[in-house]
Amino acid sequence: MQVKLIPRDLGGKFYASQRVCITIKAILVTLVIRGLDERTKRSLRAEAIRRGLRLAQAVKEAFQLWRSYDQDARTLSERDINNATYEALRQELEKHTGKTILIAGGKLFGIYENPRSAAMDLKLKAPEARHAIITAIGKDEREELEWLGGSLSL
Amino acid sequence: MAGRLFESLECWSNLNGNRPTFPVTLSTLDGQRVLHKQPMPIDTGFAGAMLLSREAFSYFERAELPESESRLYRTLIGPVPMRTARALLNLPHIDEIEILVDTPKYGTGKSLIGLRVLDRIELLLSGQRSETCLLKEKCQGPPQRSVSPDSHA
Repeated sequence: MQVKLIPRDLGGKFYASQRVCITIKAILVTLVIRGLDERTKRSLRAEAIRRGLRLAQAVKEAFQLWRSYDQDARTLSERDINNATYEALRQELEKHTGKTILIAGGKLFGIYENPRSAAMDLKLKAPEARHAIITAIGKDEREELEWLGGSLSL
Repeated sequence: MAGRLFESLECWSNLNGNRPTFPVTLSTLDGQRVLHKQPMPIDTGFAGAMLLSREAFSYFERAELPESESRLYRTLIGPVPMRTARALLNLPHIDEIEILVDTPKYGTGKSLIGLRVLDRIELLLSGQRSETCLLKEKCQGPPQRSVSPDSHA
């Protein structure tokens, strides 16, 4: 199945009060799904009509429900992003051998003296992050260890 | 090294009558307590510090190592890739230590204590009593010389 995203409209709303200014930008896109069989398409459309929803709303609801069942999905995606960030910055980070780095939300948060100070900083600055990378540059390296038979069944 | 004396500080009954266990308290690096005095089976065949179930490991995901630095375990059935994270371990009568905990990248995992924790403590696995004891080496004074009555004469 191929998915193609075509930007259609950029909407913007501006809310103002005496104290707070909030800008919300919504990007609406047209999603073309190639290879979706006719039966599924009809069924999806019928279900959306039955529920009094537009097709886009029905797809959004279904996706949100799907994600709510799979708690790990959000962590995995945060984890993937953090790992990709680490790999992208790896050479640059080698300059900080002996220090500890913290990556969360797909960006380098900071460089610290030790892992504990990195963790405390994460708690302060990004308490909502479900995943973060804390590693001591030049010290934490992949180890190959042995695991004999005893408790091997996973 | 023979002839050393140890005293037991505390003992715990084996799990299910035969599995040596040890109570552990495990916290995240920012101080959130995840396990409190939880009896944890000992596996001397596991070379890492601690293996955790996927559920328990989820509390430590905020201090995980990059995937490229996470551990790999050699086993009889081939290499088992892990997810590795930092944690703080409190053992009875021992100061808090920072360790690396693992959970299998695939599968649900299980909880156990491995050699890297056992390396830091003196432990007695008592088969006959079906218990596990934490030991402390007794300080021995210099060997006492026998005093002969003639020496005071």
